[in-house]
Amino acid sequence: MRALCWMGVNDLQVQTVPDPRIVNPRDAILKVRLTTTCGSDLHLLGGYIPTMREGDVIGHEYMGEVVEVGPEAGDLSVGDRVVVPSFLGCGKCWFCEHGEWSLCDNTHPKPELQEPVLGYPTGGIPGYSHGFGGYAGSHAEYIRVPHAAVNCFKLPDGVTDEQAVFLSDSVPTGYMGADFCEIEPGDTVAVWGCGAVGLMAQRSAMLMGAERVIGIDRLPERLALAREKIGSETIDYSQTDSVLEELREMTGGRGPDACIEAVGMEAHGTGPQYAYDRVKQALHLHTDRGSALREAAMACRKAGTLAIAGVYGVIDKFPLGVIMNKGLTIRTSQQPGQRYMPRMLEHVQNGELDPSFLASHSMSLEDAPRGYELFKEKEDGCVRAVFAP
Amino acid sequence: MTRQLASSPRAMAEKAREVIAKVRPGATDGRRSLPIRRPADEIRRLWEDPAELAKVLGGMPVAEAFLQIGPEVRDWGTTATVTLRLESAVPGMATQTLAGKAVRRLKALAETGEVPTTEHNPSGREPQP
Repeated sequence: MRALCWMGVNDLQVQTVPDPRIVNPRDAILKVRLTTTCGSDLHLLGGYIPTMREGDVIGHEYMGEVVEVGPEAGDLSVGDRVVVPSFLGCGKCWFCEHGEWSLCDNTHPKPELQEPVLGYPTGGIPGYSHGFGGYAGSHAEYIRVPHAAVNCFKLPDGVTDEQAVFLSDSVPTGYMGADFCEIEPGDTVAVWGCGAVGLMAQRSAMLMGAERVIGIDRLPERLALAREKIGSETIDYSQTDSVLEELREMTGGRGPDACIEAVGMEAHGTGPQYAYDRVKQALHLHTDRGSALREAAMACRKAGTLAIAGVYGVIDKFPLGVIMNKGLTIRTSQQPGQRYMPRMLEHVQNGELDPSFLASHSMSLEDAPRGYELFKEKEDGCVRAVFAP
Repeated sequence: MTRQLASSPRAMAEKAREVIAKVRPGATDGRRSLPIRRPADEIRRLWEDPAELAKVLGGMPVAEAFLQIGPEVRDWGTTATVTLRLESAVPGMATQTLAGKAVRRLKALAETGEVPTTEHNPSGREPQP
């Protein structure tokens, strides 16, 4: 089959590789119908996530059609159209049974690579380095899904492929961020980042009852999406002296009740702190540029909630004093999509949530290296490049 | 003669082994525990089945392996402890790491009936069909 392979830092190539096959009894094989770029892939491309190997198939946000099932794949059948949350669960361990699917104890084939960094391993995820399990990714014609009965969600007729693909990762990541904020009616929620995850966090916050949602970014086309597709107010941080001051004034002096950080380790920003982060990251003295995270901690009202939905590695100058002295609650995780899938599907079916507009660029798998270029450089208004293998 | 010996590859390797042994003595035994959400007798039955045990210890340079069953902890399950004795000493914490991998595989096998694997994983490293 054809697949997009990571061949080195900033080197992606579409190659012919062997087809996946059923290995374990609970496996299924999917024909991938749609698979999309994710901001977290850029950290792999840039070399900030170690344990990539030349030839690894990348991609983790996808949907497809079942073409083969193992003997214990439950009630899945060949021909089922399904979406799969990116982190794999087993459905049996303590974490899965408590809704913490991304922390599954039984889906990481190489925990010894992750334990030295995290203490305990996460669940496995396809296409995202050997430290995260080493499963071949979704930017391919076919993919093997372990524990298919609990990870493959059958799609109702009313939900299109273009909507479903984003229920794999970007919607549940944003939804989780909003869920962490325990939003009360009348709350104001500020969201750093108007990429796919940030936009979905903004929409989710509205669905959960936020009265005002404020999106923060620097790209005019993304700010326009936040206003026009979501109904958020926006701040262009490149056009203001202080996001903190803007938010203070917009909230009558008290600050947002909750802040969602949906940017991650390659934040852009302004001022000397941003320059410091860039230099340290370039020298591999830390992996993360954390300007969005620091700003969100400063801007949040006292005793508010800071939800971190962006992906992080190692950061210094983490504003613990700000968090501690203001009594902030921090909540963060990799997204447990299985927990939210029934609710997300219901929102889509009811017409309350339509993530399909995130697909700014649709292309074939053969064009995937170009798609990543557009996505990385945010050229041509690219929000997400979606590939149909 | 002595000078010649000291500069031979064999002598250098011996010297290196001596130095490494002084800095970080190797260990042959490692032990790790995890809670497993299955009854104790079922975990023991898996351990005593040679075909299942091969899935737990596959690829590891193990001379002997032992299973201890501890208490049940709330809804976390039965505490299982795997001790590995390796064929030869390995540096630092590597024995614990291997014991950790073994007890994780045992847990996955007991809880889900299979061990997570990347066997037959498609990649650009394989010869093209």
